[in-house]
Amino acid sequence: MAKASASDGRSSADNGDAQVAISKSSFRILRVLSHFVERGSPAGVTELGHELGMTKNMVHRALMTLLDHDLVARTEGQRYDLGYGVLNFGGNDNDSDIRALCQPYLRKLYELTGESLFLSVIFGKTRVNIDGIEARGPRISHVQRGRARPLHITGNARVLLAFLTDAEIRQYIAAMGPFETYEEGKVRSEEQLWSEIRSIRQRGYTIEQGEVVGSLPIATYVSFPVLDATRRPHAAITVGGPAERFTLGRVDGYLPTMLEIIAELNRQTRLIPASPAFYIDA
Amino acid sequence: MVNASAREIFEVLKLITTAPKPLGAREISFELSIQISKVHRAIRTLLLDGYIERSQSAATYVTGNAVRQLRRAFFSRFPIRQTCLPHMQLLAFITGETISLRVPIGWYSVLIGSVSGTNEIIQSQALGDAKPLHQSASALAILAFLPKEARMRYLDWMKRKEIPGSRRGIERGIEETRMRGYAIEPAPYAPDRAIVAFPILLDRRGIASIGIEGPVLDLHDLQSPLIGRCKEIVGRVNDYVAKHPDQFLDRHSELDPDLVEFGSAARVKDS
Repeated sequence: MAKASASDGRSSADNGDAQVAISKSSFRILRVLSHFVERGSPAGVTELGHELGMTKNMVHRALMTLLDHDLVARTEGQRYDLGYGVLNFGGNDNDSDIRALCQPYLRKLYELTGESLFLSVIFGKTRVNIDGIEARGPRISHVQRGRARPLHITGNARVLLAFLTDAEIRQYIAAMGPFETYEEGKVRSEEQLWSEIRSIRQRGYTIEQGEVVGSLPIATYVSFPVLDATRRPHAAITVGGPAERFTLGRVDGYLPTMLEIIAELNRQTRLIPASPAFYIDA
Repeated sequence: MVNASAREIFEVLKLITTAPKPLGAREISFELSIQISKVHRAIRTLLLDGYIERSQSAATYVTGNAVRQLRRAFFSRFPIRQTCLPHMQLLAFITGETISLRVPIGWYSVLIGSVSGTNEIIQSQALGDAKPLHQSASALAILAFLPKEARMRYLDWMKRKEIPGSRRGIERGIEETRMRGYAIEPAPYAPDRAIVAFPILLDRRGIASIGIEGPVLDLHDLQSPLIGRCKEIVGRVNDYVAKHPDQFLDRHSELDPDLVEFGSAARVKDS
């Protein structure tokens, strides 16, 4: 976000277009309003001033303006929170468009790692890739849109499965087992699947090295869940690349930043309910 | 003290975010009767924090991500939403219809949650949609379970605001809803079938409603197993609310309902 410089209450910001003054007091008011989104809970004048680096007087004036427009409302204990006036601003609350929501974060992960990105959702008893960014270079992980794989077969599928309810997972196992009959995939038993599910739920991601030639894996995949507020899965995001380049060491190095990016996405998606509980029966 | 600059900015933002097409500075200046220099300043300020974005045509503007986040954050402030969502998901599954969650704000019922149905044709609703408390089954399911004094005040407000609706018809609808325990709205596109909405109650006061937004009720078979199942699912929500009342206190209790207004800025004429 561009910073406005101070002078007489009006400031200029140059983004390469013709210089146009902005209203600094209005800019502060919008910053206070936006802060309630980041904060997620009511706040008093002192707290807001501290968190925003503004004087109490500035915050108070901003809040009074926002109150006038019902954009904030008073709550208990002389605190303030978002008001119903925000609904007078229209918005395309297309909550079902998980692709549009995830796109900027796929881009951030691609810019961080340079590897391919996959966005997958549950369809019936399978996971399907619905979007992605394919890396450039001679050897990359190929994004196969529309390809369906059973929910226990790959890491990104198991990330989706892990955040269904235990009852839904048991239903899936009853429908798809016994797993030792599957030629592909690493899960060979129900116990192994539950162990991995517990691990994914605790850790919040999974790392898998897929397919082996000789004794060496071909590719490395890291998968993260995209969840709603009840921790139901909207989708899974996977970063994948050839194992000789996307090594476990490199994955470890990227992991903290990748988790931050995914956390930022989940802060948005938690505000949107995931699809109905008809996954397994479809 | 009135902040004229802030008022202009919010008017510009309201216009851009509710317009059916991207708008340029001149159109905004014309619609709002604000000097174009002030419009440019408002646009510049709104662009900085992502409240608006440039559309594909660089000289016009559309809703930005900050507005979408504001709205989502507002909806997330209602604990009843989190409580109801899993049950709404189940209702969407068993009925195939879109399931709505409305709460009262002022004398309006406001849509704060929606789970899309799985049928070929479903109801599509915009979150934030605000209807007066007698318009639709979901709204009536709340109104019918407000205290009598509040219901009378609502009817007086309706009359003052000249909102369409027969007082006698509404009072009859309230009585039937209270007797039945849920509200119905005949579906004009499906003869002898109706939309159904169930109240969520706290100390017997309507604090929300869950609506099944499709012709799920056969008017000749009000005791169908499907309706019974839906009642049971909503009943679980009501049980939870009864056991945890402190979680669902009215966050808008300080508002004077007579002063709450919903509406958009001046509409832009389609060119």
